[in-house]
Amino acid sequence: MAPICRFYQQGNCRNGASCRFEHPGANMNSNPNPFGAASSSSNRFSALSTGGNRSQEIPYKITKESIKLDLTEERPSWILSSYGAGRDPPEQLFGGPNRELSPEEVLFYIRSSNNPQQAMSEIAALQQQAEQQKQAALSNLDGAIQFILAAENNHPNRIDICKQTTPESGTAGVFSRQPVADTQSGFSNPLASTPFSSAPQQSQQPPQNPFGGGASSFGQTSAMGQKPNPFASTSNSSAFGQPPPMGMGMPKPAFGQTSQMGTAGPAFGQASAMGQKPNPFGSTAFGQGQTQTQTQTQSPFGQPAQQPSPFAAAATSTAPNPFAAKPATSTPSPFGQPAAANPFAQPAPAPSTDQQMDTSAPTPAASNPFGQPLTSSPFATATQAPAAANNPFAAAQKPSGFGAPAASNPFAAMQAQTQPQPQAQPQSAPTATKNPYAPNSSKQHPPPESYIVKALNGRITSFNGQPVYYRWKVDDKYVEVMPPVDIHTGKRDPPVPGVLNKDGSWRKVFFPEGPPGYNRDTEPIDLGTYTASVKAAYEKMMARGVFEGDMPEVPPMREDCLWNF
Amino acid sequence: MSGLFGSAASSSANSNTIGDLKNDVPISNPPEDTISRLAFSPTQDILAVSSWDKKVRIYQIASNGSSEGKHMYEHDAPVLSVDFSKDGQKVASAGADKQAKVCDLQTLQTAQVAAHDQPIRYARFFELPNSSGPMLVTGSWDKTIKYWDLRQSTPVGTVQCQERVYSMDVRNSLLVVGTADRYVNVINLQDPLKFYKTLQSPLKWQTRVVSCFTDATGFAIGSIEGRCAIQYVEDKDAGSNFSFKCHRDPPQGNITQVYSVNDISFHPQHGTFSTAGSDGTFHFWDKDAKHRLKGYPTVGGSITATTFNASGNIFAYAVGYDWSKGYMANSQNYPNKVMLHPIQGDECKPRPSAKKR
Repeated sequence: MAPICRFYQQGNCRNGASCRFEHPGANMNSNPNPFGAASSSSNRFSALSTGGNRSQEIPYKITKESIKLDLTEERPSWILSSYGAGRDPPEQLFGGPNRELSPEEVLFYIRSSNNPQQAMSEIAALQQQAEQQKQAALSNLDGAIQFILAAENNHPNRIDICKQTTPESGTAGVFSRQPVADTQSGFSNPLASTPFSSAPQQSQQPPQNPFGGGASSFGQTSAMGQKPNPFASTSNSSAFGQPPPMGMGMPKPAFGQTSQMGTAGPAFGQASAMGQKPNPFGSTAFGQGQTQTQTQTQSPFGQPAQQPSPFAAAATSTAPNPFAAKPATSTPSPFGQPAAANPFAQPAPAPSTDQQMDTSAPTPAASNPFGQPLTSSPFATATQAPAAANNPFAAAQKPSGFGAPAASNPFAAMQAQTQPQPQAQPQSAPTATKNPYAPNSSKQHPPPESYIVKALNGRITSFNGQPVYYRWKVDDKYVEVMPPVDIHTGKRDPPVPGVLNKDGSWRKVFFPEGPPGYNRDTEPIDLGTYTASVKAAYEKMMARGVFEGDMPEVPPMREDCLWNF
Repeated sequence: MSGLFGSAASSSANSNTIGDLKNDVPISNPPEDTISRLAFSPTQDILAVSSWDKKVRIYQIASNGSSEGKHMYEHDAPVLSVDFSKDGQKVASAGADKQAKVCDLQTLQTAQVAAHDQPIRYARFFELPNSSGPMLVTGSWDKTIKYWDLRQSTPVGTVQCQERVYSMDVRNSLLVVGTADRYVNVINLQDPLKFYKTLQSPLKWQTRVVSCFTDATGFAIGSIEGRCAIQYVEDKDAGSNFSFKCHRDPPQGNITQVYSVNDISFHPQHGTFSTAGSDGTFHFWDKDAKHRLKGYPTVGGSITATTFNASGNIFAYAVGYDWSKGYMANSQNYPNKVMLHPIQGDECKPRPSAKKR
């Protein structure tokens, strides 16, 4: 096969058919991809165009290399996802209701399950299946591609589903960037010829025109000669201005009927407005039977409020009580809180008891070497810190509910974060704490449990308030992916914990088990050199995190140091 | 972290393309569990926060960034979405209890206004020019979108989607719905019972978020694969579509850690937009000049939701575990907070590209 003609690839070869190089014209050029305008050459930012100008052009811009890359090196961490190779292919490589789950669905499933452990193992099984499916695809990329291409002949495939709604001539221009003349009413009339399916689903139902020979679309009939608002006031007999000519007598109701409604008629508002009320809530009146204690006598929205401020008191006023429109004598808020009470400032009276919301007085820390009272808020320092010059949020911040913020010592904040919840942390058996300081020292190193959080399996999950990531040491670098065992020894070093720096790089935790024991050899030899001013300098450094002035030339005593890194 | 989206021009100006977080202020009394959605009122600096702890909290934000809790109400299950009406008088919320509720801020009364057969993933207010008031559109895992006029217990319209609704956004008459299996449906709300256009997601993996442009001519779509696509609705604007990689770690060896793009928000005045991800960073981008305006260092945890306030001088982001690494990777000490980032200077303003196009 002759090499491919470069000019032809770019779209202009002067030799034409008599060119002595290959013009791969068959599938690429004669079938311009109608969905692929974005892949034009001016688009250098398209991460999807693989530029696959190799000898074999697979349609839809699928290439084996890109699939391999997507499934291995650039795979997302969430595995329960659909995956579509190429550009607008007729089928996805992975997908479907059992294969694709969003993290929210999984979380909700586990939480709402009667047996969370079982739910978690079900999810784990799905993840395993997904992993196997991926491996199978990787080991047979040709087969995978064939599977995708074969879907061209199955109908409806994804391309059909998309085409069902988008007319051949292109969209009508309602949302175009330049104003289009014929869209005054906001209506396009794009569906003159295309009957749209009642259910553009992935199922194998052929698209059907629910109206037989009648008008092609529900929306369209109501659009014809109607005022633009399809949601006409429900005082009309029809919620859509004009009842569609075929009425409600169709055996298979139109687009938009949800079979789950369980009603005979279609789900459009018309039927309900006409007096028959299919009630999806399964109870007789709106809001009854639900757990909300909502008064039924009044319209749920009270009087339409005209004032600009929804809280009736001007938002900028300093009046502490925002609920001026709601005196205590009026209908109480459904949550049982009196008007004057700020639900945030106290543990709320009836329903919402929030143990975790510490807005009370600061809890003194047991072993805070810095001797300063810690507030219960982990964010006190964060609010303290932005007292910089050009802070538009101004220096005088007083977030409500918080006591005196701690000094700007990052260690204090971290410990505050872990202090209030000692019970909540899953801790392994407390490690025997080594005292790194001299036995006769008056200071105590903060206990490891106060800044190291471990999971039940012994792995550290949090260090100084930061999430911990384990990495394996390979040669001289630390890697995230578990390396294979050593060929000679058959062993592999266990991973070590680390945290992420602000710039995202990984930093090893050197003392994951807490401080080491006392080692006399590291103390200054001649204690005479450790004068009062040296001691004061180190104390100040411990308190502020930086040295004031120059660093002393005498090393610190062990008791001036912390091993929390 | 550092977006790979960029031309040589932005790397030469690298020093001022990294922003700082030192002026960011946390909300007082944040929720106790992952935050699902943030919404600012269109008329004032009032922020609504929905959370997996089943509650909706409403805070007043002062000009110095301090916050005060004003109201809180509950659902029966985690709340997945919250939104303000255009007049700022009502808050709608919806969630795993399959209900949507509206709270009138004047009276602080809350009522259920919608129901689905499966958890409702998104609820959004919208208003049409000749309508008699705000309406609500809800998208659910039961594969339908329903329209509600807040006065009836039955929907005034239902649209069947191909799959479960995973993401949804409304701007003016543009409604964009991203579903499972990577379909994206566009609906013209003036003709709401059918799809104006259906397309396959330009991204390869699960759709995480769709967000409409400020001028409603298109939308941005983010996925779990550290990629974002800009998509115009009209076919004739399709030449301007593109996608870019973001929220990815620099490759180590040949493995690239890719993170989910959890939320995209458009600046109400400038039309620039933010992306925020599982890697705990957020960035501002200019889609017309096709470059990044500013990137920020990691905030200490995944960012699950973002939003701008109405005047565009506050960017709020919620930090919390987004479950992307599975159920077991959560920890008690994972930060859970809402931060307010003041928009200073030009950090979110469009900037024409320095190199010739």
